[in-house]
Amino acid sequence: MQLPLISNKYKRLGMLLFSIGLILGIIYMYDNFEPNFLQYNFGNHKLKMNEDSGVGGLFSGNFLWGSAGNFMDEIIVLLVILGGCLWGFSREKEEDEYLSQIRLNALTWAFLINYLLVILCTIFIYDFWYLDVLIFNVVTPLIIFLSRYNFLLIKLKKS
Amino acid sequence: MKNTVKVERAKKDMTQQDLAVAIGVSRQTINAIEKNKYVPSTKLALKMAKLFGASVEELFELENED
Repeated sequence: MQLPLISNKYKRLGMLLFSIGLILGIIYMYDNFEPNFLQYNFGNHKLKMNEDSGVGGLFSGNFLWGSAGNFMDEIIVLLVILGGCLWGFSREKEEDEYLSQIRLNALTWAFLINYLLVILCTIFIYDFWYLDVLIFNVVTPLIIFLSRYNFLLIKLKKS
Repeated sequence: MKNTVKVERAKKDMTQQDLAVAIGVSRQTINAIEKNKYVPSTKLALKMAKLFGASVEELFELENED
């Protein structure tokens, strides 16, 4: 079975981007680390306006134009997703059908555990805290996939 | 399923690595097949049978629970 994978040379780049993204993400989570040069303000809005604009989401006009804030969070999400995909979906040096099976195993785990977490969070977490769940959920499937895949890979290499 | 890959490989005096290179997979895959942890695709089974000069049925055998 042939899985749609990218070249092996992107694997290290992916690892690097993912690690940088993850470290920045952890710092951002505890410290709200927002360097000044990443500050943006489009349109006539005052800085930070989008943070208290309330409900409406996509339809309230809170796209890039007419909003203000800091690009740090966008950069973190893009680094983690892009790095994770490059890392997790690039060919191994010796890619073969057994590895395809291992990838599928890891994907199934990621999918199921992710939704199990979503179910638990939906039952136990309410109000604005649930927004945090949704934010984390952007990267959890990828993180679970990478953990399971690399765990199986290490176990395989030892055999 | 059980298989006689290890025996056939020994008859040919090949290491897992030799067999892996000959049929284009990793050594770990051969190891997994020999330990019955992985059932190879038809394509891989046919490649092995060809290499060993045996039929696929001689290499692989169904067990009761299959």
